[in-house]
Amino acid sequence: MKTLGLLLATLCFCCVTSADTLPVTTFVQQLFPHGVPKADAAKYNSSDTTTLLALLADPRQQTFHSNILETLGYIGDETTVSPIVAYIQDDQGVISAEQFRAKSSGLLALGYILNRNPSSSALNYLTDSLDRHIWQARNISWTTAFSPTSPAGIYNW
Amino acid sequence: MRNQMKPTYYIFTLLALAACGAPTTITAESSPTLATHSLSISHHQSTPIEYAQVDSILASMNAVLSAQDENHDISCNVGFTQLCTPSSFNFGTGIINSAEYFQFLLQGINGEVKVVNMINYCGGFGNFLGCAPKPGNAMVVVRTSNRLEGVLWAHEFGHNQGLSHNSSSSKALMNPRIGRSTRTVDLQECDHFSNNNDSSEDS
Repeated sequence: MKTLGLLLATLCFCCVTSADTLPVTTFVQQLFPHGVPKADAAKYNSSDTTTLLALLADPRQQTFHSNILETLGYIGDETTVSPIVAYIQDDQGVISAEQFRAKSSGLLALGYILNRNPSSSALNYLTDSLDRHIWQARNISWTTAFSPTSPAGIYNW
Repeated sequence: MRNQMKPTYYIFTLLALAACGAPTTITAESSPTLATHSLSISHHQSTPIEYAQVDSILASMNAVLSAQDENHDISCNVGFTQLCTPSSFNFGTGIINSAEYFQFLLQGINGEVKVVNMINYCGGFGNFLGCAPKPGNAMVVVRTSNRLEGVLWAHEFGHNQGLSHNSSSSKALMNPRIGRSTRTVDLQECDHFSNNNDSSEDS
């Protein structure tokens, strides 16, 4: 009886949460001029990661990949580290600015996961990434059309 | 005093026209335009944007503001014109990662609209589509492929005009989330959009 009560209480809590929150697909398919709102994204949880990873694998959702990745980051589920890393590294040839922005959001997402999950394997990936030789060793075969006209380091930004 | 200023103004205008070519004026079709904002666009050389594309975005801005989409929406007849062909700049990477680069682009590069590759810093870190001081004279934006650039530019222009976010309506142009349906402005917001020293009253 006690277990049933606990279950009902949990279900009730879930109902309240879902009533206040957009379906995760709808949430990430919005445009946020100033970034994904952290407080709203943090309302989602590990039960939403399957949906988000499916959207991330769908090239038709490219416009929203950045939002998807940031939301995954705010959820902070360790199991998403590997697919996020794959998203950052995979691709061939010259990628679009939108894709590049999404990959950058992937790096931010790893940081957010680490923030919620201090023992996350994201720590190794991010600290390794501070070494440019590691990037060469990763054999990433995509490039961007961005061609800085000034040698890196001339400007401190 | 006003007459004494006129020759200077005309010379400046002639110089601007000579440098840029004749400006294209886009006005609302439905009713007289009350105020016109002339915008210059600069883009990082690795993120091209063409004159016709800017025209299309400005037309979209006009449409968003002038249409009365809801009962409480104001038909805000503000016109946006493109002062000249977009110019390019090559300082930095066009990727904003710091306050310093952001400020440099705002103040050191000509134009009210700077199109960049990526905005990772806008008062804090994240992935931003646009960033504009409130109030201010310029904005930075990235290109998006979802036909919402008119809404994005109008939203950022609203910040430049002193407007804050408006979460009271999910359809407000100044809502922190934008989409095809975020197009409404109230009377006070319309006043901000209309207010500009460079604006011209429709005669």
